[in-house]
Amino acid sequence: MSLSVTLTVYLGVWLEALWLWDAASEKYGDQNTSQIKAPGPSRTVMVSGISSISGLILIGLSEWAGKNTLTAAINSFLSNILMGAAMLFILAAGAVGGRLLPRLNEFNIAAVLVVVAADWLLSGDLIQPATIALVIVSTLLLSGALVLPRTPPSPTQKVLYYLVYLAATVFLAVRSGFLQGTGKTDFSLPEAFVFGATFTFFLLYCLFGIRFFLIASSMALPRNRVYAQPIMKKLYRDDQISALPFLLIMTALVAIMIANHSLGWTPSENLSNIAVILCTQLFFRPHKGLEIV
Amino acid sequence: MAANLKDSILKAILFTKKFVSLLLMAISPMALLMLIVAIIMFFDDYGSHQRMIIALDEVPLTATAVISSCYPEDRYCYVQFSDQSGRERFEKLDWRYYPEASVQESKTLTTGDQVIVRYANQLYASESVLAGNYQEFLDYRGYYYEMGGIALVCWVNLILYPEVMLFALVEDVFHYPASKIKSVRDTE
Repeated sequence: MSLSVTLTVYLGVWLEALWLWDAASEKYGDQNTSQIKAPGPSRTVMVSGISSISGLILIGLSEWAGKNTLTAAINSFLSNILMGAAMLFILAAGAVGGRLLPRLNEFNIAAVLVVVAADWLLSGDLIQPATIALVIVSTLLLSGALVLPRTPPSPTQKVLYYLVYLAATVFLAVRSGFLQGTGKTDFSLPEAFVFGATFTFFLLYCLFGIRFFLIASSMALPRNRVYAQPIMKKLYRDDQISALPFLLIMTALVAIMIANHSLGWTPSENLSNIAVILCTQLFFRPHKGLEIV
Repeated sequence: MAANLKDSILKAILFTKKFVSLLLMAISPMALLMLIVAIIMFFDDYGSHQRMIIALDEVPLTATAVISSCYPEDRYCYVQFSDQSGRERFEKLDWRYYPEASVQESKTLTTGDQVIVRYANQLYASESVLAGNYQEFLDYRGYYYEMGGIALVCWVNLILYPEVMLFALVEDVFHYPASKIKSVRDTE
């Protein structure tokens, strides 16, 4: 990887981490980062802007400098340092500390399920009509069960829903070749940025997935189910919004995925990964500034 | 007298129960670490086995090898042979892949005995397998039991005492059991 590609990957990692931090900050009532409480652009939005401009200047400079012994030495140094720092940060702040985990509602989970199912169906890996029908029917049933009820689910139901969300996310991470892609070196700059962002997102959810699976399995004992309420308060939100915006957004998203599959604008795994990130962090969240529904 | 004895036994049982509970709770952080290590080791063993199968299947090569040294207690030997390119190879022959009868047979092997081995063309693959028991090597799933046992014990401990996993998700988690007990009593 050239220095500019390395810098672009880590710009993606950094901006995604900032965005996750910002999306998760509401549950901590942090005045400095919460988009609900802050009157203007939040501190994380400002830091993101400054980071983007600085990152673009550095990427431009490294492109201008080209490949030589100096940029190769800087690249090697940065690759090792930044990879370790990024992984440690995602593990400590995200999977252990929970500061990078935005709260989700039923609509986020249903949207991710639809995207993962659409990606799987469009990939052509499913040949048997029975399997295709099973995937379509189970996705529709699960999404319907999540979106249609107008009463908040119980804490134990929330644990199960969140577990389904994590399973779908990890499944997409494995299927899209993200885990194998960590050894990839030939990126264009936009691909490098998307790789950096998806690396942060998937690493976070794969690590937290292991932890949450253990937590969920401990709830097999009734005495441990009392923990479901405080845990899900940090991970789940009870926004009961209308199903119509959900239907419109998901129809548009699936139409884009089908069009991309037919016309080949971008690698389908990149589009699916971005769609899952958007469904988790942007759509169906009553956030000032980033409000979509 | 009998009432006192019954009371003492009850107290002893309660103390033991409390002691075991505290012990399991105290070792639960270690159980979490052990579980992670077991999962990593499982994937490492699984990956090594798969890579070895790919290397051995690439070109089916066999040779008559001479036993250099054997360690029956640790269930492996070292063998020496010339490969198809005439290169002298010195490789490990692990008996853990084979059934007990083959392992018992292996214990009779001494330095200088000959065995037919299947080896990989790649030089970095430093392990050979018995050509006659190749299918058993392919079917080997020992790593499931080796790591699975440890992982299962740790998992059960974490199901019983999940507090260590709730750090940063539940406020003041180590004082939570008090209200937990109260809540369970209330529901009863």
